[in-house]
Amino acid sequence: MTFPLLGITVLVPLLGALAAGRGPERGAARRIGIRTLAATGILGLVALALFEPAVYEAQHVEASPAIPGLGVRWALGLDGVGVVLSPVVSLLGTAILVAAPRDELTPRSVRAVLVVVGASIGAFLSLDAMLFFVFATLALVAGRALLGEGRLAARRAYTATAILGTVTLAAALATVHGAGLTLAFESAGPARGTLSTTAQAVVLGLATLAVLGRMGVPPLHSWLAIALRDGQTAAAVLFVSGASLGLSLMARLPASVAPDASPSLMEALVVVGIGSALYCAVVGLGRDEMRSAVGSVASSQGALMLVGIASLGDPGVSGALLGGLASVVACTGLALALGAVRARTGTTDVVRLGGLVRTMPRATAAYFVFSIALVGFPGSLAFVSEDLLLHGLIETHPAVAIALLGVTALNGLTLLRAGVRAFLGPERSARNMDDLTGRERGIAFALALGIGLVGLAPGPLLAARRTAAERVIGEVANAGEPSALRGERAHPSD
Amino acid sequence: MPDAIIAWVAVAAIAAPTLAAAALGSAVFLFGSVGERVAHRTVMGALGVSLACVVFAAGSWWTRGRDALDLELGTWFHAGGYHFPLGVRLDVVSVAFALTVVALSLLVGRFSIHHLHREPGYARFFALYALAAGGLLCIALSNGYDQLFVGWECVGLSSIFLVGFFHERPGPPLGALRVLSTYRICDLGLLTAGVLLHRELGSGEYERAFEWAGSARFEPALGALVVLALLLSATGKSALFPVSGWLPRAMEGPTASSALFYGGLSIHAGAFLLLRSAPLLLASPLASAVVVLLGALTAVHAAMVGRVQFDAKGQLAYATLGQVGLIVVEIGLGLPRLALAHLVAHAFLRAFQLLRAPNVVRDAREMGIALGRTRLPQEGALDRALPPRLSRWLYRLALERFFLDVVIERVVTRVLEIARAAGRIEDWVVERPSPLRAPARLTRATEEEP
Repeated sequence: MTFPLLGITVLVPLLGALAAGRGPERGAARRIGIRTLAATGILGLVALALFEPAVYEAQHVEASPAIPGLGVRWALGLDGVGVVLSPVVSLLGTAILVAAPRDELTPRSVRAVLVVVGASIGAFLSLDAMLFFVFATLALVAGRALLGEGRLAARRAYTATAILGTVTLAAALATVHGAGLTLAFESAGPARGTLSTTAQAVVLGLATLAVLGRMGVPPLHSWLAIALRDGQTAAAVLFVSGASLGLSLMARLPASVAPDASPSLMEALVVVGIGSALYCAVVGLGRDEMRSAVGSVASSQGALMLVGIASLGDPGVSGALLGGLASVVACTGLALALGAVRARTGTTDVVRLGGLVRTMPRATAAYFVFSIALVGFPGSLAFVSEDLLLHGLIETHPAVAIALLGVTALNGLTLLRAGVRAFLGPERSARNMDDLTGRERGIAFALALGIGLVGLAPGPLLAARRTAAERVIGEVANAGEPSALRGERAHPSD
Repeated sequence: MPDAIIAWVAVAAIAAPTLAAAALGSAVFLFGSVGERVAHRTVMGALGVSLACVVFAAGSWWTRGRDALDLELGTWFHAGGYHFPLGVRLDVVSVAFALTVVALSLLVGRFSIHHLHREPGYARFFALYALAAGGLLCIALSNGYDQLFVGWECVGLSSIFLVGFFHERPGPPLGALRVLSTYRICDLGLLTAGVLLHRELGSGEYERAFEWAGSARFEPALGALVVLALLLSATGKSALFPVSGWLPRAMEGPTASSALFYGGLSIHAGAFLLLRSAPLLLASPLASAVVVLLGALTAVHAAMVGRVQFDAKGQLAYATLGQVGLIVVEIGLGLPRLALAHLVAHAFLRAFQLLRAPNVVRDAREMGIALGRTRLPQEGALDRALPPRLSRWLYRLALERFFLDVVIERVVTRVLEIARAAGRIEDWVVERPSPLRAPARLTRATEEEP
């Protein structure tokens, strides 16, 4: 019997949430949360070390029979998508708990972060679609607690999008199940059943809507900007989780669910995606509230990642998978920097700020570093991602490639312009406040260093994701062959 | 000397100041302050290494017969059929520009050591300065447009933050915003050119592009489009007409950065880009004509506007621009050697003048005292030849800088209005009262701001 490394990786943060919730004081809950997520991150790194990039099949599979009647099967495994996301999301959660303003981190918030991270990891590692659905829904429900009490608009937007996303994904899975199939994200191979092309299109379309909602991409994007604006600093984990879950689902769906219907639907997604990215980039330019602006830029970048997946070609798909990582790390850094500003000034509205560099030079530097990292300054991981995206689109969609350039230019303009207005220039009011503390500084430096090092040497990361990219492209490219899919008829004994 | 050694030495020239910038920036971020001596010795030492490396590479190129040397270093990253190549190109253009970069960087850096003594942000200045030098060397020594773009962005970023260096005043941040906007939009040209070349040739390397330009496969329309896209990028970086309004605003930065960027090097980067692409221009007569026209317009515009400036740095800014316009004309006319010589000589002259600019007023006063009188400016021959009404109209046009700023601000304002309107619509959709909302007495407490 193999050591259930993946199961433990999923369960540790969930158990930690139980322990943190019992703690009487904030400090104890926060410490439990940090230690739990750090341990989870280490487990994720161990799994990453054990992963063999050249192997196409899912690795270190931990499976048990399906629960009768529910169609859910405990099946975890490592593939090119989940192997990197698990440690990254854990470590980002750790960073958030270490560096977020302490007065925001109630035991309830810490518990929410732990559940969101644990459930997200469970979804990344799931090989069974129903299990993915359960974990993804758990992450959604737990995340609501991070929006803060009394933030009605944020909670309403988040809840509406969460319900819509859950319902559409459930409908997609129900369609598959209704055809007498169970859906597995497992290894490639000859299909053991088929869905008609129309049914595949319905399933993929519904699931794509769910992905749009999770990633905060138009038309289901409003929740992201408002959650970052009105929620706690730790609400950044909602974007980390959502963007990662959305991309992981989108990287698996076409090959698993709809290899025959994917080419035409993905073509539509390219157009919708670039339009969405451009729209969010324009909206972000007009935002005076910095966290809203970051949310709009994050939505825009998320849409670009979907365009990359939808290009159905390497390097576009590889670029999208890398870009998801780059976005979540940089956005976490931005959220922490702006969280520090809000904690000290009470606002992140550029109209009310100005000249912060004099009292907060490190926060200023952190903001600008993560801004340029998010939009693809050379040397950052986002630069590699965008370069790959661009070259993935040049042959098949040259106009979209040009539009992508415009989107990234606008996003960079949005973030840097907001930074110049907020951090430079004369001070708008007399303030006496502290710069980033040692822990905030350390986390910011570690995140920036990570983005830079991986950006300068992206080879190992690209290799780890190679099989995931090949599966997206290869399975869909072979769609002309009969039985090119992934479902199997449900059997009472499973 | 093996090619690999020459290539890696050239890379070391780029890497030294870039690593110095990263190290200095990290130290300032983590430890709060870095001594002046540590800051300038780190950067000047790195620039000294760059000088040695560039001289070595230049010497190796010279002994190889002065033909173009394209040295491949490998691949930065790859996925599918695409890879980002790394390499170095040594020819008369790159060697001359690289030597100019290191020489001017060292000279201006040496000046800065004492000029900025006790200035808050001393270490920040030198970190940005080193980043700019690394970026300029990357531009000079790259073997393709992909790699050139990396250096291009580094120079742009450092330029923006150096313009806003004296951030406590309102002017510098506004100037930085103007520079940022111009660079961001115009840099789309360089990226577009790269996209078009990759689509046609599968590569952005100069050698492939130049071979294509001289071959029967060359498509004039596509070639012209590539050149015009490069011209857009050059327009932004070199402040060519009609986006030259950022240049006088950029003079808000430290004198040393003004000398290096807007007199010496960065302002010539656009011209360098066009010079680098000379074979493509040669193959595209229509695009070359546009280049000549733009250069001429820039020179005329700068000459007129420069005559009505009332501060030394402003006059120097437009004088620089005028010469850059002429350099661009020379490039468009197919005179690359003349343009290169003009560029190098002008860079040194203008950098010197800008370093001396703070003393110009004092020098003029001392001269007046020494001469025992103050002389009024006299009318030139052109002023005497023109009808008075036309002369006044041209004077007004020059004072308003050809109304370019007004036009640009209107466009920017319109774009921002559209963006803000879209944001307001979004906010209304999300935050409008819901019919399912709880009664007012229960919501008032929960909706109050903390």
